[in-house]
Amino acid sequence: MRKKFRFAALGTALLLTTVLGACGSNNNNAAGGASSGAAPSGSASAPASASASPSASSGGADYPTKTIQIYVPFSAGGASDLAVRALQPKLESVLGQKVEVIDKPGGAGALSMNEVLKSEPDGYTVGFVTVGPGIITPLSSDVGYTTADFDAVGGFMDNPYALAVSASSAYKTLQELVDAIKAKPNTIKIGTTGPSSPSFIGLEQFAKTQDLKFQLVPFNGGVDAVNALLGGNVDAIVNVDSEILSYVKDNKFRPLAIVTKKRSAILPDVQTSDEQNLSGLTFAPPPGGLFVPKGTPADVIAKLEDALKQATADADVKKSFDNIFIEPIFTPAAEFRKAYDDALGYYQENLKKS
Amino acid sequence: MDTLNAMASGFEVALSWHNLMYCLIGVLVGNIVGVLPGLGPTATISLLLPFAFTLPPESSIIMMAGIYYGAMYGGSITSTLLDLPGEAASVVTTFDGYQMTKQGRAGIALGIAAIGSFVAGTLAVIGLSFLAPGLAGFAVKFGAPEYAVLTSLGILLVAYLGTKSFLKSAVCAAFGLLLATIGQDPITGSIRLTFGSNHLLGGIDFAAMAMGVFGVGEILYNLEHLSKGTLKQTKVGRVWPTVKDFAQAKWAILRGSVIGFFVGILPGGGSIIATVASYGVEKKVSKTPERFGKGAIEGVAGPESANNAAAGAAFIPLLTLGIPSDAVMALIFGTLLLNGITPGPQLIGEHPDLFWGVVSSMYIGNALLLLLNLPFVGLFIQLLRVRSSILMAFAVVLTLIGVYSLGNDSFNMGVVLFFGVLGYLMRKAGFDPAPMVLAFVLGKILEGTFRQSLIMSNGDFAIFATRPLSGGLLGLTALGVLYAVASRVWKARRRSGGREPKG
Amino acid sequence: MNTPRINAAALWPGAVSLGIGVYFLVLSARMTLGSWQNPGPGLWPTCLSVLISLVSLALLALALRKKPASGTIHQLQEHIHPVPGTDDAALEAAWERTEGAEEEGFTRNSRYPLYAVLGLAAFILLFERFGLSLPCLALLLFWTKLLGKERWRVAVPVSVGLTALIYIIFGWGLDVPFPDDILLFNAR
Repeated sequence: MRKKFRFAALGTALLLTTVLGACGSNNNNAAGGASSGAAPSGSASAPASASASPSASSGGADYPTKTIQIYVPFSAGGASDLAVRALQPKLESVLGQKVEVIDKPGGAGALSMNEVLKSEPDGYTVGFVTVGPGIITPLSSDVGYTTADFDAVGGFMDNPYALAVSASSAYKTLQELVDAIKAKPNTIKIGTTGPSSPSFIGLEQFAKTQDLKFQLVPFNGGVDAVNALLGGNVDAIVNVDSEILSYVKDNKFRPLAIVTKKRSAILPDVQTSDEQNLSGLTFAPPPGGLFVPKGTPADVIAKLEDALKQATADADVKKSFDNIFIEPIFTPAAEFRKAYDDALGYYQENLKKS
Repeated sequence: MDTLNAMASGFEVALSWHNLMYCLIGVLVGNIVGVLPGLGPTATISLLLPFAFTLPPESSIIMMAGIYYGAMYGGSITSTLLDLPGEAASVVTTFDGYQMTKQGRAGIALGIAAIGSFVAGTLAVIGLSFLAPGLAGFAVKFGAPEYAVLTSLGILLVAYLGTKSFLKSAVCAAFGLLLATIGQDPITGSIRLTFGSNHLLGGIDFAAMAMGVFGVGEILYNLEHLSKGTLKQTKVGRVWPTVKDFAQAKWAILRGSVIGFFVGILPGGGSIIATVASYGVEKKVSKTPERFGKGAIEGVAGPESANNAAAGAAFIPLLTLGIPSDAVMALIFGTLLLNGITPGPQLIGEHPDLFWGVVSSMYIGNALLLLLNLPFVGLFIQLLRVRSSILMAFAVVLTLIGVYSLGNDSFNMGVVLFFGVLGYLMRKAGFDPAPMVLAFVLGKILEGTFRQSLIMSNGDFAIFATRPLSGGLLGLTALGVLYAVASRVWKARRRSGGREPKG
Repeated sequence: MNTPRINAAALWPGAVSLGIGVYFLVLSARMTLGSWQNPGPGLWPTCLSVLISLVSLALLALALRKKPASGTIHQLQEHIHPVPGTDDAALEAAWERTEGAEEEGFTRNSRYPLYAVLGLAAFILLFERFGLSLPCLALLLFWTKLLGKERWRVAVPVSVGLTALIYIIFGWGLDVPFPDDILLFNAR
């Protein structure tokens, strides 16, 4: 409600200032007190369950005593931003402090990661990370960090990928598609979500293991790939399951396989490529989750991890995640760390060769 | 008649008092942020997302849509008054709009832009109501080869239409294309020309570049000439367009609307190509093409109508196919998702209230904008009465802060400054910055789609000619180039044989 | 206007753009070029750099034998309807900008843009360190007082008012996270 008022007031204020010239300063003082940016710590609107003494003290015992910022390396409105914002209210109620989501896209994710890296390791600056900014960006250019510079908090966003063809396509199974590729090398076109994207590297890997020759077309994001398949400009695409779901429902696309390790929650009937006995296609990008700079006190990390765990189990959060077709699966810190270490090895090997 | 029934129930949704209010808030905020340099609809909507999530889906989409097309109205105001295009689609408006301002005809330009925007916006909504599903199918037929040909056509037009010499426009366009290659290679993913900066990995931010080259560049240029006394104070002149102005612009408005609607359906770059094409058409059709670039009213009316029609048409791929065609559409897409609604082919069937409610609100919003803007024209041009020392200072600060807010990144402010200096030098050198900026936007699409096409065809260039759509476009481009060359040669011959230059 | 001698003003634009073309050519050529059928990352930038360099050479050649401008202000006036409020000086300026003398050299007045650029650069650096309020105020004062030559009693209230306005719009209305502000004591 406060935001709503503020928004309406902004419109009016802007209008007034346009009309009256630059005489808006009275307005400023009256309203400035409610501004969150200038609000003193602890007085924020968050429920005061663990309101701590204002005396500044580092270390974990009374953490958190002020606003926590989560940096997201993508633009507002994307799946990652939406997922973090879905968690935000529950994180606030568990931690008893305001949680701010800051989108800092750009630099292929490096800007946001560096912002977190250079902040104090005190748990008040947290970064959202996925395989792109976390692993692929630092491997493809020198951005001044690797995942080793961060401590893991936990994962919560696991996207299965699917391989789909147009509903009118002749290929009914993955095997038929593979046979067609073998029969006519270099004619089948498969779209991916971008150069050096998990889907691109996964398909390159598939071509190598199965000794296949096809054209890999990197598009600028999943939407462009979907567009190309709709228009019949490629024969198949590999994309995140949530981005093809509505076309599958509408009988425009036919999913042939889930190409990550586990089946998808939203396309439960589709077999994984491993289940169809076609090895090499499965690639498992690590889940999206939260990182803090290395050196953050262990009990602070534990508090964050616990908050994340509680948030992912929350019914309201589940509902929001359902809407964006993501299953909120909590991954504990240790497991999350290992997923990134494994992925680093995998991409190091495959990116160097290409 | 289903459509009419559905629309009637849509109006019921749109006319409920709170939706009317959100529509009004949307167009008002859109209009204002369109005027504020640096702060386009994308930045505003993403900053307001947390608020939008608290509303019911119809209301939030009605409001976001209002911000989107409201900003298109507002964008014409700064382009015309201050040579500051807020987004790529209003770059072309600066060609003649800013010249009209300098001649004291700012009010006329803004009035015609408002009327043109209203007509085009309304026509586009009518198109959206009745033609949406059929046209969406056409949009997806556009694959990589079609885009490659269409964007090269756009870039050729841009270089050709520049107001200065063709060679200089060509250099600028090529430089714009080169700047577009900064960042990740679209096919191999390798990093190019970033000069070692992480901030450039994702390429140069368009808004920062445009703000710098146009706004800051023009201000720096004026600073030098201010003291000479040539451009001390811009005359305000008459506020309203006359019947005669309107008569001169009416066909431009209609042609602009049609071009804008059809080209605007194409996701990615559609609205830019639409404005350039509309300008090109007006210049070609005109009996006095030499007026263009010097304050021709059709040069404002056509492109302004085109970008507003395109703003309406951009909803077609989103609402009928679930394909967001630009950043704003992507935000609306996300909002729908969070509300449990999947934009896509089933949207009209499953959520008719939402679809028709939003469409109906756009009729209302366009009317509101006209009502808002016509009286405001008088107000906005009073801005020109503010002493330039103060207006410039304010514009510069607003630009820098606005650009900072795009990615919360102060590097972007440096980009603005760099391109400000470049824009200043280009003005001094007699280069037109518009081809560079437009080619920059189109270049990103061109290289990617060109190379995707070659991958699709195994390196066979015939793919551009053999596909019916791209072949047709290619033929059109070739004809256009031939015509341009022929008419140039013919004109040169006539000039050398005919009248001699006066003075 | 046409001096028979070669003047530097007409030459520098072509020379600078030639320099840019060659510079980017060197940078681009270091990347993998690939083939026409299978272009590498460097091919497209290289082609563009060559294009820029070639057209720049043509521009230089043209500048060396500059021909007179092809029209006059009176031709323009014939086409624009005589609108009340259109003054000849503005028309003249528009004409100059579009058709007349294309290149200009640098004069003593070129120092004003230079000061402005330095001021803006300082603002960006200060903004990163001290947040919005103080640097914004300083920049506005610099522009209005030193560049705009307003009086103090105009410059000070205008700068304060505009700073407040910008803070209302961005900081308060849109919640933009500015760097820590030394004046407003942000609790971050």
